[in-house]
Amino acid sequence: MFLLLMQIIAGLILLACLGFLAYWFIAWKQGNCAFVLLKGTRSPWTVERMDRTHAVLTCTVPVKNAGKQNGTLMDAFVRPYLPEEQYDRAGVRAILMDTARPREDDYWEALIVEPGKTVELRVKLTLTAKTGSILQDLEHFPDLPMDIIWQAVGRSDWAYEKARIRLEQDDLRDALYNYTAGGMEHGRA
Amino acid sequence: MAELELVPVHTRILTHKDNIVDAIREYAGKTITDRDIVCAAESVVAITQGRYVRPEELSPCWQARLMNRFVPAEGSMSSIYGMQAAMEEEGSWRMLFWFVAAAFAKIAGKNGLFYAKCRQASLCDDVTGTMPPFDKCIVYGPADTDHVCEEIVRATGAYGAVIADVNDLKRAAVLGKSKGLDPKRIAKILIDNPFGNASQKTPIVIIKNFADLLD
Repeated sequence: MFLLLMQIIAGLILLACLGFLAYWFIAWKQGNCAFVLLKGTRSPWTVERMDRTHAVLTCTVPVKNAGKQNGTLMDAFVRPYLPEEQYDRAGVRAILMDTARPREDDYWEALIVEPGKTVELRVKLTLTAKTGSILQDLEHFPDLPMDIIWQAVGRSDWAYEKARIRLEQDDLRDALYNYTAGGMEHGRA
Repeated sequence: MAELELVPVHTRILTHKDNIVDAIREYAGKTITDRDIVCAAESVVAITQGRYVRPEELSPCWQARLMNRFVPAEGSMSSIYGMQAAMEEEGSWRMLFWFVAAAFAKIAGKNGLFYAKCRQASLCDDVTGTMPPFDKCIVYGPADTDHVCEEIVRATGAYGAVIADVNDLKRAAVLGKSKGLDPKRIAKILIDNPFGNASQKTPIVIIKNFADLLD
């Protein structure tokens, strides 16, 4: 009797183990979403507009769902890292938007991305002069790292991920030069 | 005899602090007559009832993790959070039972048993299913739908009221109605989705002169 009971318990344990194995196999086979920021295809930084005290720069960078399942980008935002200890002559604010559905309120509208598809993100960076002249205050502006952070969910638990892009000194100089040179050509002061 | 006319009503974003009956009175009270049917979008009724949840507030159980793997990617139940949200209302073991039963029923040629038995599985809108700021929430189906419809009729003096689930894929269903209305007939009238898409903010539609059709 005892032996039979033990055999039944062992059988049940074996069934449970097989069930788990089957589940993990299905989950592995099915996969999940996997968002990857394609930093290599980021567009150059350009100055969108500028006045005496502000410069607004933008760039675009795609994020791809490289996974096997639909993925939902529940939230996404950009976080610039420029502490005052490092540079206190310009204020930095950045917002992130979906180029296909641009909005200026820094609200990320959740969207579903199919496997293999990309979403083009647009980073909009506003630099504000603290002494009254943006060109002077940006003279020694350092490299600016920014994290693009997104919250994604697919078949499994939601998770935050992030990837880093930069506005380097050379990028800024080129963007300002192109804008001011273009401005001269087109009559901008 | 006046012709049937569908009039979408623009509102602000309604939240759990609003009452759908008051909102209908505020935005459409003057338009509604005793010949009209008031139609309210189901997700907005649910939101005003506070029937939504953020995925971050849910702890998916193993049943949700298992079952979501067998649902096609397009459905709200393909997410563990959508599945868990439905389970919070329907019960995880009950949903598992009907999920297995529905699988056998499907083999036998009968589709849709799971969604018929577990209504929240078909009524829950997953993340992205509703307009901001509720795009990051899972919105349940509305509660006490017939009762809400009766309240709308009492408050507005309309001929009738319905709560409807309509989308752009030519699908329309009446989830709740006031007494005496034929839900199939109303669903047919709403089939072209007069509510528009979520960002148009028209969660109320008035079917003008409906009673004239009956005369």
